[in-house]
Amino acid sequence: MISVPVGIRKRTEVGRLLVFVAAATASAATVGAITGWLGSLVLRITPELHFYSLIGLAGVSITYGTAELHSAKWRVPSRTWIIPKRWALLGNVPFAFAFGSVLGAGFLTIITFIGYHVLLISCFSLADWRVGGELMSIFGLARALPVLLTPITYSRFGMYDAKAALQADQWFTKVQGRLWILRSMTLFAMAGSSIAALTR
Amino acid sequence: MVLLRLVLEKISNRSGYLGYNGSFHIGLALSFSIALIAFATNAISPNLQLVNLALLAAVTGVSSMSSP
Repeated sequence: MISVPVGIRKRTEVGRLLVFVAAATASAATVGAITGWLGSLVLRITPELHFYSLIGLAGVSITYGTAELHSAKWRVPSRTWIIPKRWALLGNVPFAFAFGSVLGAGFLTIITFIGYHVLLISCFSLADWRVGGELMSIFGLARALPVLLTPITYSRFGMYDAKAALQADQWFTKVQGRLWILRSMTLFAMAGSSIAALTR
Repeated sequence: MVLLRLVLEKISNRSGYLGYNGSFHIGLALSFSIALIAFATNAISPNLQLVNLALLAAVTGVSSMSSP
């Protein structure tokens, strides 16, 4: 989707990649900041909602964490839309910006892991726009980085190779398949810290 | 971890429990240990919840990307 920064247009392509990463990070940070700000507004009026959001966090984290251990794919509330491949034909800076923004926001595209919802509920219950923005910017950055994997690899070799592209894709799928343990651990840790917050 | 796995496998073989899934049980034991550690550390220092959330954000970000 993002072209390869090699040859005479290298500088332009690197610029596009940076626009993409910045847009994804900023978009995610905006979503987190708005959620945190909404949380501060709502929790000021109804403080008891904080208690219920923590219970919800703990429950969701334990159930989905166990499902991850079982390699069970439970339904995650999400849109089914993915960024159309034809967008890549535009291939300019506005495309990189739009692609990054849509990807970073998260809720506009398909989400397969419950962690996104857990993060948003956490931003809401933390009721701090700055912390919410910072947390979600990590999500945006982490979501943007794998897209850069292929261009960065090719920039080292100075050429595009379809076979290597396929291999990179297979490698990434393999790594993702092994991420279940980290997903489960972080969800369980989330459950533990939510219950600790409940007892405070 | 290796030791725990060996012990669990030994027990399961001895008890003849055919439905034993070692990796699931080890994962579950490990996960509950982590939940317990998170509970204890967060009870002491609430700021540690942010570290956990930052980790979750990174894992969620990488998991949400289907292909490079």
